[in-house]
Amino acid sequence: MSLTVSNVTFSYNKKEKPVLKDFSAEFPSGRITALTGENGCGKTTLAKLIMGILKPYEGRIMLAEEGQERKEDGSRETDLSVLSLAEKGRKIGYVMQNPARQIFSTSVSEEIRYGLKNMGLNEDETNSRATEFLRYFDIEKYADTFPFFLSQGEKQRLVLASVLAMEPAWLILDEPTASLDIKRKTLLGNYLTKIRKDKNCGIIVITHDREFAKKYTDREIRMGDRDA
Amino acid sequence: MLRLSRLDPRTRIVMVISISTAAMLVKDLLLLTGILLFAVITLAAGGVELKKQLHQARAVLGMIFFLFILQSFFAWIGGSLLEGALLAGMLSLRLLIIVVSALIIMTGEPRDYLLGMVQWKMPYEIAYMVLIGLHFFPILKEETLDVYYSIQLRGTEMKKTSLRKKLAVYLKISLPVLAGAMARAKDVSISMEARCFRIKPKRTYMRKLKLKVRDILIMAIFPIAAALIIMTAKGFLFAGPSDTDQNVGNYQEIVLSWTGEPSSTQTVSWHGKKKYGGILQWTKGEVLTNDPKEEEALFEENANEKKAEKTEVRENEYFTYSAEITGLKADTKYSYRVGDGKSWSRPGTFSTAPKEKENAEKGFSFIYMGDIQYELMDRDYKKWNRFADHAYLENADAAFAIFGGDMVVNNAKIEEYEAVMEYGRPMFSNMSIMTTPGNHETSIAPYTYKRIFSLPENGPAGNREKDPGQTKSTDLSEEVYSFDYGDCHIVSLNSNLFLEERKNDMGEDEWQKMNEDVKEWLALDLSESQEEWKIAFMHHPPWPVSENAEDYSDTEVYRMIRENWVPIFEKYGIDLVLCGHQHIYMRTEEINGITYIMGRSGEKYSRYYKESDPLPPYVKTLNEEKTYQVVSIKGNRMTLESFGHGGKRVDKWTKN
Repeated sequence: MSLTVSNVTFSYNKKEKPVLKDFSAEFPSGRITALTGENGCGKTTLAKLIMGILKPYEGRIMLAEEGQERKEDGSRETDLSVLSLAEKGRKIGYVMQNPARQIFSTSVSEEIRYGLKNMGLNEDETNSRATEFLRYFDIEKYADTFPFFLSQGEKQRLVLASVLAMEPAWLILDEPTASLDIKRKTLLGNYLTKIRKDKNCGIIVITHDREFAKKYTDREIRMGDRDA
Repeated sequence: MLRLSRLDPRTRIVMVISISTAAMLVKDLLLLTGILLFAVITLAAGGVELKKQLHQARAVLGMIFFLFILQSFFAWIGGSLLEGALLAGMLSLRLLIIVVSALIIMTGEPRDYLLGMVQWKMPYEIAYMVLIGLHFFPILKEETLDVYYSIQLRGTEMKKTSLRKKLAVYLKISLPVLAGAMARAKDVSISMEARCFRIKPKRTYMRKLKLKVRDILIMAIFPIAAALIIMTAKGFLFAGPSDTDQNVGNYQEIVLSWTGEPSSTQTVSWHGKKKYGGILQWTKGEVLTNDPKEEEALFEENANEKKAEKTEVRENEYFTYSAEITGLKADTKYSYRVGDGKSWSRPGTFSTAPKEKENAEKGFSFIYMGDIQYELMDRDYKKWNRFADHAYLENADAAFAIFGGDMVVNNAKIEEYEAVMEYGRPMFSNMSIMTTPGNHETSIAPYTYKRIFSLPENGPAGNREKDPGQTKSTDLSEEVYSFDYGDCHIVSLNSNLFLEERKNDMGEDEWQKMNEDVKEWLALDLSESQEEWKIAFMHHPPWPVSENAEDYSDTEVYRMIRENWVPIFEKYGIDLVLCGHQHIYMRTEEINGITYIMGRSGEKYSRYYKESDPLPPYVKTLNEEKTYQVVSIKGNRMTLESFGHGGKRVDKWTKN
């Protein structure tokens, strides 16, 4: 089971040199992959392409899922471009580089509950799961706070909690450790290891944090080398 | 070729402001087209690749086209397609000019314009803030999109949600974007302070803009040209003598009526805010062309003159000039004009009535208009204007017109009377207009109405003390009167005499006496008349469509008319009663020999009639459209026809 990026080409402006050219990679599920590379090499762009926020000029991004039936053409993969953002969000959790842009509710607990309610959970399930994740990411005391008053690190934890609470089978985290202290980095690392094991999650971590990558990820894809 | 991008940024700002100001203020289709052409030529000559620019602006162009269609469509529903298309064309042209002239600005960077403005003493702080604001636009856009995507990724299906939920999502987006902007503003201001922003009051510039001769020339020429164009459009310049509106200009509120015998007299009244010269000229015959020279010749040769009586409607503000011409020849066409001896109104015409009984064979017709009252003044009077013009043009040979009251909404608002007279101009200045006051022309008595309209004073007013200022409720002059036209006798009654306010103001005893006087006069007037046909008109209906009332007094008025006047109508053989008030067209069955018509010629809908209510048994025809009536009398036959929108006949009734 894997997420496959094949021969993707993309540029923000037709006249400019493409950010990604004929890029291919495979991300197996049950593994944590670190995506590294210099600034501007296209890591975030790749994440946005996978999420469908950007559309590739060429190439395909396919997702194979456990238990998925064979399609008419014989494949077991879903072309991600046919899914709506809401459908993709259920399968792949995405935490952006700047978490402040992912917060849109008027209270911390409301922020977590938003996705859960959309998933169709009942009131009790929503409440218990929201409390569980607030507690895990140590922001339970802010449950009724207006999220914009939180510090950068707290915001990051809130977004992690909101996205992970939806229990997606895949996770893409864009610089998740940037605003976390050592203690919370460890917590995040432990959590990622746990869900990878428990749920056979596939996780992609875009990071510059060598130490974090070394300690918690299984493999590394370095971007931009070939092109340079 | 002079490239626009080489001009001083300030010159370009002046160019754009001049062009768009002219576009906003000019209302002439031809001039607007000219301005657009000029703007396009300026761009082309200035080295702008028009094709490319227009391609980029295609979304806006599409929008303008869409607006044009939309505007035309709604104007078409509202009445006239041509007029709507013209209006829409004007609007589209204006927008186009603004879009095209804005392309002049696009030949430079925002930074240049701000530099120009700062060197023209715009406070640097403001310019800097604007510049920073512009730079943050792309970031705001990016942020907005990120939030939008995040909301969807958390399970919101944008394509499947209702509009209401979509709006809720958009509202959610604004929250983080606003919070982000505020945080950023704080950060930026702190960093700017930290780097000594504004520490020196006087600035020096790395790039000092200097106006060249061509810049100064353009900056002088553009605003002057724009001013000239605007003045031309407003008629300050080049106003040709054939411009009819210009010539009539000061004399738009002319009303013909009779205060004496329709076969030998004619009263002409005109109104205005200024003190006009009050001279009336008239002469036999008419000029059929629009040629001012022929008009002049007609009056030069053989004109009679009379000085008008002046009435102050509003002290030092608004005046009525009125003159009655006497000794006219029966059944003759005359032309008249009003003025100060040097400048004159456009001539109008009137015809005297044939000698009594003489026209029994020839016959005549008149127009009746019920309430023309509006809901929205400008919109609805404009619509009435089209309706009235139509009624007049279709019936230009009508002998006169009767108005059943409620022409205005506010009894003392001069502007509303002015609108009625201006919008009804062709009819009001070419046939006698005989009116009765409605409740909307009445405060206690119809004071303002009486100072504006000139009507016969042959009613019961003769029995009581005359009040020249027309400010006493005891004075009945012009409220109850009668006149004859050919073989027809017509009585006008003020139904508002039965309103509580009048009664309270007069006092019970005086009011009772007045009521008796009116009845006595009415009986005498009708019994003495020898004419074959008898018509009465008043505002309130004796027989209403519905007893629903805005206040209790309405039903009381109906009852009073039925008890006091209707028995006299029936006794002396009235054939037709015209009224209004309930904003619906109704014709009754003949009730004791009399047919009652309720008219409505304005836009206001009925608040009395409800479809669910049972109709009174006497209702013969009902129509919720606005209509006007044409009553024709020929020999021993009276015909009434009702015409609706576009001249469609909706009812016809005949009595032999």
